[in-house]
Amino acid sequence: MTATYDCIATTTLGSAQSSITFSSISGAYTDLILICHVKYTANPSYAGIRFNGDSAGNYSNTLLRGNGSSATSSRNSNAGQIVGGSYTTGFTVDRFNIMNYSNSTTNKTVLRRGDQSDETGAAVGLWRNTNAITSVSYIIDTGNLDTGSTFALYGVKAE
Amino acid sequence: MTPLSLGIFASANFTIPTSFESIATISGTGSSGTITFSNIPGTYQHLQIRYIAKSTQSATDVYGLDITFNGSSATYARHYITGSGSTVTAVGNANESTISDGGGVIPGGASAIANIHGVGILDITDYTSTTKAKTLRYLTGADLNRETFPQGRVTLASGLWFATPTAITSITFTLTGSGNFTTTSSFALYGIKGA
Repeated sequence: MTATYDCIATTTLGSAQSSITFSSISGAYTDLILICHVKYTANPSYAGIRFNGDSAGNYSNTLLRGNGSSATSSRNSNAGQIVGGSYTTGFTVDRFNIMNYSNSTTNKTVLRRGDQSDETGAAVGLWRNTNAITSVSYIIDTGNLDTGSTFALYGVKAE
Repeated sequence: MTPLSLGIFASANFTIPTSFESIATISGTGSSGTITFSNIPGTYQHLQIRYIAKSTQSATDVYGLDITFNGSSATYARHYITGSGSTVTAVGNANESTISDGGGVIPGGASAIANIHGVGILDITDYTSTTKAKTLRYLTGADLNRETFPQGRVTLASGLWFATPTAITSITFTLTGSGNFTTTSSFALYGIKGA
């Protein structure tokens, strides 16, 4: 039995940034887990993650959300990112499980859990690309990722 | 503001001894619709299964997984909330012969949904306890980038095995429908140690 769940890299923003990228990711793991504790400086139209610098409409998402009074489900196709959190006055916790990221056979599927002060949710996202993932970017279209936001990338390896 | 880029060099990867260990991995064979982890050691506190899966059934359709422990067909309960991209559904069942994931997350093999897999993460707490009924928590989903069925589904679920408490020594996943797990399907079992 091999110990796994390795911390690959972490960062805490000392100043606001428009995005953050983990690059040159080793293909030695089976799954990646990206844990984000993030605050936005403005209300974005979208926030989320992209792979290998791909900003084209090669993503799609199915979402499930509850805001304390109602539960909703929505989806998008041919989108520009795996959907992340939405604007709130506090921090959002986004946990992305990027499954079998290093294989070159399958399109990549991501499971996300997101929690913030006014909403909780789960989502599944698809990146229509069979290439191994070598970089992950957390992006936002308006405003910045605020000072104090933290991002941690972990690798889990199956024997 | 300029973007922040963190280069990660393979030689800089560092491994910290953890309580999370890989126990076993089973891949689909293309000729079986079941996957079983057997002889699970009792040396951990909790278990986690992480999987990607696809059915060989040649259809533009999606299928589900049925889960059983120790080969037992009694007695299970499950509750889930699921989103189809337009509709939210909550389901609860007791006295079942399996823990079902509610279906709709394992894609079939039609060309229209080629190379797309369903994924899931399951957690089983205190799996060796002989005094507690076993609780399973899982998150599963698949998105197929389609605007007609099957579009996608994400499910949050819990399951309960409330037979006379006994340690879990095997876990079986059975694919619904008439297909088998593709060779690109993979189930990985992890153990989480206690203090």
